[in-house]
Amino acid sequence: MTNGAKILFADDDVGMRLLIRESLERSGFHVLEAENGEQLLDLFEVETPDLIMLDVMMPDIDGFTLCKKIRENHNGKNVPILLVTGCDDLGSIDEAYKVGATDFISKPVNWGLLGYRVKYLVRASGLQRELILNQEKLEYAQTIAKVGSWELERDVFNCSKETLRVFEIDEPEKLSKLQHLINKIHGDDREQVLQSINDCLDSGDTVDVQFRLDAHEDDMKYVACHGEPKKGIADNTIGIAGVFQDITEQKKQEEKIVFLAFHDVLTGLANSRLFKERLLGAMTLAERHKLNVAVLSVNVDRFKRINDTLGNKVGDKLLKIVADRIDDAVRGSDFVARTSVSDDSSVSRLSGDDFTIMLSQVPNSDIAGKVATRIIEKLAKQCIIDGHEIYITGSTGISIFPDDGLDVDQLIRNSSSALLHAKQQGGNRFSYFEQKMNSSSIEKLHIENDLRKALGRNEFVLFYQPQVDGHTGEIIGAEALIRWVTEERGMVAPFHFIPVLEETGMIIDVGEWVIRTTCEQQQKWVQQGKKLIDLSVNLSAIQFSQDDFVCRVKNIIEETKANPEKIVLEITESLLLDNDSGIIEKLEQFRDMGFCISIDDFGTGYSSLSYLRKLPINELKIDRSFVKDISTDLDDGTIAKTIIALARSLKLEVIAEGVEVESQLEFLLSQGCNRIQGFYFGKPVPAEDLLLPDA
Amino acid sequence: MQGRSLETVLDNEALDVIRSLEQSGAPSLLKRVIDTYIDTSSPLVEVISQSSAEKSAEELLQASHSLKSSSANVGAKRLAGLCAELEKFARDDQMSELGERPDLVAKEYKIVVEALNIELSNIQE
Repeated sequence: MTNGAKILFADDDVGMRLLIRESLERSGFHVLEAENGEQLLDLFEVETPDLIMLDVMMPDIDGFTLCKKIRENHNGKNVPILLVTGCDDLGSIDEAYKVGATDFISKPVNWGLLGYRVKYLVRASGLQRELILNQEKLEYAQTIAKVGSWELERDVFNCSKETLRVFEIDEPEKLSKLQHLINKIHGDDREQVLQSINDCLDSGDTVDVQFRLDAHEDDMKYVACHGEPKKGIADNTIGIAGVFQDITEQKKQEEKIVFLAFHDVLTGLANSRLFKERLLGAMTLAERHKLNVAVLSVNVDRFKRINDTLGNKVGDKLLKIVADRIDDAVRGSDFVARTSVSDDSSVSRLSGDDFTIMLSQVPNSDIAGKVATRIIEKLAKQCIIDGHEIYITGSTGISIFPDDGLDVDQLIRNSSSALLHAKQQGGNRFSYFEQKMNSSSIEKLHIENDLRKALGRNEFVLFYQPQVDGHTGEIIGAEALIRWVTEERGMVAPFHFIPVLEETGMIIDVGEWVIRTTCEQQQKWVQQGKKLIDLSVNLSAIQFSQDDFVCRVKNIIEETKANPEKIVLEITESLLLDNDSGIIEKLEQFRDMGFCISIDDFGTGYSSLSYLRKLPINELKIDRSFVKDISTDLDDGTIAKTIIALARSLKLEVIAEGVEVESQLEFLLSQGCNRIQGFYFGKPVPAEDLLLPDA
Repeated sequence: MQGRSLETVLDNEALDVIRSLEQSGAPSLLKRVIDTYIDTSSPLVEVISQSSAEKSAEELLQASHSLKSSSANVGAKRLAGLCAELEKFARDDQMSELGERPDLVAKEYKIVVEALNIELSNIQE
């Protein structure tokens, strides 16, 4: 490292120069000499010496001035400078360090040792250069990572420049004062940080603490501090080595995630999760103090119609206005102001246009009625959204804890029953919950209310029940069966909600969804390389009442690129008996498009042979009621036999559903009905659980 | 010689250090050092006598400093010491306090040169 290092020196005495050169060359250095200061500065400009040696006393420029000049030069900041001073002259030694000399030797020079002295200085400066380089690298890395390091040992504190940046301290001289950093910590967090540092020093605990900096309120800066104890020889803690990290970004993301988890994105109100949590808290408190909690359910009368006619965008804007008005009504009410429960938790949006309000610590139900009246008054005002003048009204239902329910869900449900009751009475009003509201008519209203939102919330799913060749067990088809899964109700059986869908006409939209989803599923399986099987979907008479029903289905086929020849449309026998809506013609069009038509529940109606002959059908499905006792009940067996024979004579396919045991299977097979559906081969399962062989 | 032998005029240790620096094959370092000293020092001695007489502190300072360090290099301890005293007076501008020191320097210098010449003749042998 020192071999061949370049030494530049200046001395006006020729004898000195002779000796300096001799002793340095002897030590393997490359020596450049100057007779005076001017010469040295010239040489310094063109050479890059590894060390400079200066005689202090020279006629033109003295060594101190030269040293200073070199240090002022950009290239001379780090080169080691050795000053040669007169002996025992303390003043000049002081002066030497002041002007930036690295070291000094005093005259008379010990020529034998000079080489070693210079060697040491060159090596030390090399190490220092390397250290500076490493430090720069480290600082750069710390800047990128936004991590600053720090160290505390026996009351001596030191930190990196990045630490100052994290703490937004501009003066680098504060690198060594812990107090400067502590002062920047937010007042509420300071104690905790000091405690953590003291715990580490006292008991060797790891420092792991997050705090805020005392910045502007709206632009909070978060810092994480991590530190490990430094151990002395006796394994005692003598200090801490650690890092500060700017975690503002992470913290903001975290806060956003937490906010999203507990708030409704559209209105910024609490969501149902947060609302239920707060309600539970209020109930616990109310129980202790023998007080009431009121739950108010609010929604906009005929909101769906507004949404359908003016679109979702207008609907969303309306919901924001509604949220503001409700919030306003609740906050503005005397009661809420007085009891200071007016934080955002008291108003929430559970879903769609369903808002819920909680009034904690109400002395009696009248106050809830007053708040409800204010809400209704505030809501019944004109809104102008994107140029549309919209007149809305709202209704409110109230339930009171503990009278109307002892748990969160029951209270919300009962306030929503009261709400439905208010709407039944014409809307724009409020009702208190009464026990009689839990009758089946309200229950049906609940279902209806929830069903209206089910499509939008993706609460419907299709299950598929396999249809197999009874001889080989090979899967040849599957029937798509709708399921309704809600957070509140779990999985709802079709017979609970299909009639409501049919009564309300919602079956049209839901039925179309079933056809579309089945077609999409067919194509999904095709893309996965699975065997193409028959997929049956059930159609309702109400769907046939639409004049453009065939056209709608045709669009679905085109959009999904499904193969209609492997889609079976199942209709009930009873549907055929009433041809008012031109069912036969529509079926013919479906068959022309390639669909298969199957008659569900066959055997329950009264179709005559001659009538069946004229129908555009491909398959009869034996109703499960005849299959049930097929092998034991003579009549059932006879009916099944007749249907199978009838299908054969009409050249129709026949399939039996509800096959659960082997004896049923054997009977059907013996009669020539090979297509089997039922638990014996498999119950309805989600699409991904239906095991299809590869094509 | 005023009762001093030549051996005590020069500090042998200093000369030994120079000898030890000598690289084999190179012309004698000690000879070059002594030659250089003799060449450069006589004008300095001149300057010292003259500047002392004229009370020119600046010139005396430079000259005595230079003679001090070069004399120390060749082991002329006493001479270096006398120069150091002159240097100090010159620096403090106490030119009237020099006393007989300038003369002592001139006398000691003669003795040093004599001694160095003997060293040279030893080298040449």
